[in-house]
Amino acid sequence: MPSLFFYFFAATLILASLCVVLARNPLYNVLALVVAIFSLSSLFVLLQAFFVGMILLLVYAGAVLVFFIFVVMCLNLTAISLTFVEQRRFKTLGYLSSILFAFSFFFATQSFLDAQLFATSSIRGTIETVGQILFTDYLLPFELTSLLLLIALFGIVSLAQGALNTGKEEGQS
Amino acid sequence: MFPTINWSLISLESFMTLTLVVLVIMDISLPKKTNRDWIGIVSFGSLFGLIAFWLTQHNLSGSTFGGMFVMDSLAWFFKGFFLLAMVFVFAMTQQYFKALGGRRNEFYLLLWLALIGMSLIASAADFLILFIALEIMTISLYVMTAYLKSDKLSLEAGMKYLILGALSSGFFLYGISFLYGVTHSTRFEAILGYVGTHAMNPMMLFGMVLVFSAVAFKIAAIPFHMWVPDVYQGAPTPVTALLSVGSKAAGFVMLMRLFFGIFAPWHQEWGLTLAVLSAITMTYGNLVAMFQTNIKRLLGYSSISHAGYLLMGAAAGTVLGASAMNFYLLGYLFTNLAAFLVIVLVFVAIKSDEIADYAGLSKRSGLLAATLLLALVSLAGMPPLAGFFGKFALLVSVIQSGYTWLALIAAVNIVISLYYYLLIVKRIYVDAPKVTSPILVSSSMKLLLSFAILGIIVIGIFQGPFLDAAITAVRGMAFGFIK
Repeated sequence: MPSLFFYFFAATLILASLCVVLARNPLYNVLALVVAIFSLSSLFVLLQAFFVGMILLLVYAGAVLVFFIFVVMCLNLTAISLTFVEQRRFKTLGYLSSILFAFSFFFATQSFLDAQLFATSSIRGTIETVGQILFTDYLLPFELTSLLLLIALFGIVSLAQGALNTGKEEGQS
Repeated sequence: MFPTINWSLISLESFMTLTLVVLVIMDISLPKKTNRDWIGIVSFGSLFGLIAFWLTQHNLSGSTFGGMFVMDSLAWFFKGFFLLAMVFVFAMTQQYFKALGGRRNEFYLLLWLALIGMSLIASAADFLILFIALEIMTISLYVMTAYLKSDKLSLEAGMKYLILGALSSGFFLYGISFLYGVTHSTRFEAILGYVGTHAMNPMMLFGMVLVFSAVAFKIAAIPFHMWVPDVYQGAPTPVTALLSVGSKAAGFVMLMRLFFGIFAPWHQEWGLTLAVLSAITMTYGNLVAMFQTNIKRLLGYSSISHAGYLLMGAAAGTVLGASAMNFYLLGYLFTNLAAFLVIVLVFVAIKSDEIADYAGLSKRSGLLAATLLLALVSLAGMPPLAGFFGKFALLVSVIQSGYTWLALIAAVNIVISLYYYLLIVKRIYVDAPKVTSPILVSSSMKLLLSFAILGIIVIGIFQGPFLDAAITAVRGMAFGFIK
């Protein structure tokens, strides 16, 4: 039964990823990406990595892609037409990167099968274990990230408020 | 289950964070229309309090948070270094924004955050902490660099710094993932354990190179120096000062933790690479600095060349090399901050950073001209000032390790650097001023300038206690692994 689910989600993932690349309308690309992320997170859930699956769904499908859709809708990108030369340049780039990807994928699977690194791993990817590690072993880094949020806050306040008089006028810059 | 935490080790950072929280509350609750710069005043008071507290932590050592946070002599040395640098930077900020007007409260808060980030870098014993601390420092610097929103140069500098900095953070993380993949840990202790017992392998080499590239970005070494000139010129001058001293020193702490700590057993492998990088960096910095007309940009290139000099100590890979780096940085702190303090005070008066506008400065303000003269001459490395003995110790350390050619290149570079430093001195003392009105300096600034001058001269003449401090810092380093 789980393998049936695996094949279903894996097939959906591949189909959706193909849609992302092949669809002409940017809006379809983004929507296909949402489907792809959804099936990817389902695969993680099948592997019992519930936390990763959840985060993937929340962060990517929930937040990032909604932003993408907003941007795509705001920019009105349907009218994109590339000139022939530009298209050819992209094609070469595309072939090059897919060859590179195929190579690295091949070597990655090779070393992954050799390593046996993850076979003995006792980590369970539930929210409970992640939370426990976060508040015991990784307490300091976790708390320190709060300072990063504080910087983001100050940054927004100082950069978004009214312009500062620098004393330098046009002529001197 | 819950780890025991030794709070006394992390107390300095805790107090810094506490100060920050108090300042944030003050910023919110104080009336908007006050003439007094309360945040600045409280910041100054807290800085001196923290320095006093830092002195009491002299013999503190140990690690906590499961070995992620370490307090040792090296961390102690550099925490004091950062606090001292911040005294100057806060003074500059206060002067700079008094002249420019506008809100500066967030700027103070960001300075505090950068200080917290820097002291955490000095104490990090785990790549995760090191990365977060680095981001705390760097992201606050991004915001401060772009702080003058109506100044196009400042915005451009902020943007450039942000993009290139994000790239270097990416390198850093990628490198850490390789190191983690091989050693199965991000703890320095565990990685040192691996490095000490294994030969170099391609995965580790890849990780090392990527991590080093992020460090090289921070210290502005070639080939990761591209951001320096534009950012140094465009950023508000207090930020430039912080970049050239604080951020650079933080980079060198990282370098010491990595190359005198966890990668030290492989010194044979990387020593020569660092030596070559050092030679290229100092030569490039000095050659390009000759043609600059903006003093901040010139000091940017000069700071590249100083990164080259400092890398000599790392290439040497000995206790002497590391102590020479510490000593050099201490001298560099007073020298460079003195120069930047003068630049801020001159900018406040004449609203220009062009070297041409410095003509005849000696006739407008004797103290400013004298300070700048001493700072530039010390940067060039003339005896008996702080810069001389630092360079001398670095040269001795590389000759001892067998890199005589590097010492020769450095000597040639010192002569080249004299040329452009003395050109500015000539402008200040020989050329006739375009405007003759005197530049007034407040008495508190006079005090700070005298303190800087005192530092430059005292470190240059009575090197003993400072050299001892530098050597102690290296000897007591946790996970140190040097001959």
